[in-house]
This record gives sequence, structure tokens and C-alpha cells, in this order.
Amino acid sequence: MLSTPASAESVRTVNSSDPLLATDHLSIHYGARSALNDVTLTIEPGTVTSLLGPNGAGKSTLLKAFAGVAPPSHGSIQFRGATLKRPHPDITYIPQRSGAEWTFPISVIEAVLLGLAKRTPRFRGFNTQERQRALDALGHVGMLPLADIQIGALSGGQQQRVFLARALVTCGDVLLLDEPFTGVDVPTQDLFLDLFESLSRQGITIIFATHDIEHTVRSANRVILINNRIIADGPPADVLSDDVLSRAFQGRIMIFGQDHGRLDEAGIQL
Amino acid sequence: MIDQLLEPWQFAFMQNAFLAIIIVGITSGIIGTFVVLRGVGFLGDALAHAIFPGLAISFITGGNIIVGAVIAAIIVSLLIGALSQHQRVTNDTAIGVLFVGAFALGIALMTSQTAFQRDLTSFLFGSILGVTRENLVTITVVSAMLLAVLYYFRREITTISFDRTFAAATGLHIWRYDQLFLILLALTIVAGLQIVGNVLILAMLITPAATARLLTDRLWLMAALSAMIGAFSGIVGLYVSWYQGIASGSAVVLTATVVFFLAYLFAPNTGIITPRARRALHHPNPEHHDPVDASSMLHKP
Repeated sequence: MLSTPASAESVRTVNSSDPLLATDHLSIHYGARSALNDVTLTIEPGTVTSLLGPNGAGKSTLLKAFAGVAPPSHGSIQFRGATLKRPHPDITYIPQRSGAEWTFPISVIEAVLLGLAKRTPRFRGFNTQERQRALDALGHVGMLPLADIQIGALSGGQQQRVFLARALVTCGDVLLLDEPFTGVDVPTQDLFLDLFESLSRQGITIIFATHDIEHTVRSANRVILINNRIIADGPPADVLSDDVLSRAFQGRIMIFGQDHGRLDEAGIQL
Repeated sequence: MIDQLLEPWQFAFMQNAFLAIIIVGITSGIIGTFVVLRGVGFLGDALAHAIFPGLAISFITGGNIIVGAVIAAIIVSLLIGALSQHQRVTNDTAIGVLFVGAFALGIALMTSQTAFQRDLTSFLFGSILGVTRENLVTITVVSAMLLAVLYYFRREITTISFDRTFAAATGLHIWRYDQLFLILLALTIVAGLQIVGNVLILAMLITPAATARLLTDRLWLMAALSAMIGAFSGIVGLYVSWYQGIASGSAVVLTATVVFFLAYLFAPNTGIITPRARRALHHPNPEHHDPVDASSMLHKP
């Protein structure tokens, strides 16, 4: 069968039994180093999944695989039953914030509008309707008053909000976020947690990578504990028990109170 | 005064030169905006030198110089891209190796033909006498084409310049757009070559755009200002060149440099001198902050 880019809508209705997102014995190597090994999982629509693990565990790699930017070394990734080989317009990926040129002369709203660039005809500018969508997205992340500010003038948390708005403006069905809570102020973290909840109520599927147990407990209804391979998978209450964590990390983990535990600071030596 | 301004325009070659430098100023100002924002000035310098063998070969064989230069630019830019794919060859290294190697090859070719010694100098430093009507047409066509391509791909090029990680995440082929940008850059350099010369064309790419960056925080306004500053420097520079008898390229570049330093010192918001003078005038108390100034609501990262 030819892998024609059948419209996403038709694929969804025809194969409604297919899982939204799935990996099948997925392994990804960077040169000789194995970032991810034999990962098989399925993601259900409308869920909030936390990929939890220490630095270098392969969380970002798995997100990139879902985003279609990290090709599998072995195994495959399916989106709505079709093999995912390149970025899909319905899957929005928000990388860690280090990629942007902060001195770039672009305002907050222009940065958000770039999220719509692919869907806007080449021979016209952004129209009122598109601007309104961008403003709405900025409203969702509480950045409306700063829409015309140059992006470099924002704080780290504000910049992360803008990138979330840039993702929201395209209304993808799947939202992938890499360390959304890192380097971000507490009000922004709380805003993200609220947004995750309301987005998942709208049927949007959220997968985020973190090493933060607190945010996982507060927002996710599923935790996948990763360290090169899947170590544990289930609801936070089950996976994040002291018992599972210490078994998973060979007893080399100390959790300083469930609410504030951070794996990378909790003394894991893997 | 009016007479002095009009005098050079009596000559056809000066009319060509003025029109050419205006077009080159506009084009290199706009392309230069992205060169400055992406911080690829070294690449621009390298390309300007690396097209030299193409010039030399077309010169010796009597072919079209611009075609020769464009072919050389495309070959060199593809080679830079290909070499830097190697794990142990960084982009900078690839540029450095090809830049000097190709330049040396060009000089070797040129100096092998003793008849072209004078032309070598004019290629390196520009020559207003060299612009023919035919050259002017070529410069116009090349500039119009590359600005049209830039307009067509403006969002992609803006996205990869602003946020490469995001660009990759949305499925943009970064490598392809980098190559496209290299080719646009090479064409800009070729278009400006005859007036400004090989060595100084970099200034036409960097200086007006850098000046515009001091004046605005808006991308397209920056491009527009950069184009205007480029054209303005070109016009003033040609007059200086005409009346002072100095090489046109250096006169144009020196004018642009002066404009840059004026902006650096006196730009309304970012100038080194202006804000202090204004603060002293309006806010004798240095603790006072303007209540509508966004920076008082925000903290820089």
C-alpha cells in the first residue's frame, strides 16, 4: 500500500479502533548511544501523560519521536493507525525553550502568528481572523497585555507561555511538551496545570516530559517512568509509590516528600 | 549645490552606477537583515571571496561574469553544506577552508593572465566606471528575482532565523532553507560586486542592517530601514567617490559606517548618548521609571 497522505479526518473515522498514538518496539540510537530501547505503548485520546525520568533517560527522544523529528532506529510509531514518519499537522510539539534567538526583532503576537504560517496562503498577510486567533491564544496563557512587546523583553516563564500560545493557535489534537515547567515561575506552572486540565477536557491529548514528581501528580492521569526503556506505566498513585520507585531505581532513590520530589535532585545514580 | 548634485548624472556610466547602487543598496539591505539576525556575517564574507574563481573563469573565457559568479556561489554554498554534514567538520571550518581555498584559486587564475591585473583591483574594490547598461539590467533582474523568492519564502526564512528548534518541530526542512538562503546571499553579493567590490560587499550586507536593528524592534520595518540606509549610503558614497576621486566601494562603505555610528550614538531608544541626555532632561531623578514602560513590568531573562 502506498503511504499516501490520506486526510487525517478520513483516517480517524475509518479506523476508529486504532489507538491515537502508539509505538511498537521503538528503539532510537544516536550514533552508538541508545537513547530509547524497545518501547511499546499506546496513548489514549484526551489523556494527560507524564514521561518521568532523570536527565538523559530518553524522555525528550520519545517526545521527538511522537513529533516525527527523531526517526526510529528499530520499530515504528503510529498515529491514528498510520506510520508516522514526519511531523504531522495535528501533533504540536513544544521543544525546550533554548532554540529561539531572543534578540530577534519579533513581537509576541508575531511569534504566535508564526504558528499559523503553514496554514496561511503565501500571497497575503495574516488577516483579522488569524490575528484574533493569536490574540485568543495569548489570552488563554494570560499574555494578552504583552502582545506587542518584543519577545526578548519577556521573562523565561512568559516566553514559555508565548510558545504554548503558538502551539494552541494551531489547535492540534496532540500536544507534546518538553520540560514545560523548567525555568518557569510558579504562576506560569499553575497556569499550565490549569490549561492541561481544560485542554484534556476538550479532548486534546497531552504528553509532557518532566523530572518533576509534583507536577506529574498534580496534572497527569498516567505516568510512564522512563530510563532508556519503560520502567513503570500506570496511574500516578500506583507508579509513584515509594515501593515502585525504589524498585525501579534499585533502591537508589530518596524522595523528600512526595510533593516536592524531583528525580534528578533526589540522588538517583543510574 | 544643485549643479554639483546633478553633475555626475550627465554621464551615462554614472547614471548606471547610481541606479545600480540604489538597487544593490536595497537588496543587500533586505537580505542583510537576515544575515545580521542569523549572525552569519562570516558566511557572507566567505561567499564574497569564494565566488572569485567563477569570476576569473568567466573573465578569461569571455563569458558572462554574473553567470560565472552565480555558478561558483552555488557550488561553494552546496560544498559548505555538504562538508559540514561531516561529524568532525563544523560549519565554520567548512566555510573557512572553502573561503580561502576558492579565493586563492581565483587569484591564481586571474594573475595567470597578466592582462587582467587592473581588473583584479576593480573586482576587489569596485569600480563605478565598470557598470554598463547591460550590467544594470542584469543587476535589476537578479535583485528582483531574489527579492521575489525571499518574499515567497518569508515565513519559512523568518521561522528558521528566529527559532530553528521550532522550525524543525513543525517539519520545515532546515537544510533546504539554509541552502536557499545561501544562494540568495550569493546572488546579492554578485549583484553588488561591480560597484562595491569583492572585499567590501560584506559591509553592504551587515552595516545598513545593523544600523536598522538599532532603530527598530520590528522585523519588516528593520528590513525597510536597512534597504533605505543601504540605498542612501550608496548615493552619498558615489557622490563622495566622484568628487574626491576615491574608490566607489570604499566611499559607499565609509558612508554606511558613519550612518551606523550616528545611530549607535543617537538612536532614539537604544543610542549610547540619547537615552542619557533624555533622562537628564526629563527625569532628573534617576530612580524614576516611566509607568507605561513595559520593562518596568517585566524582568529581563
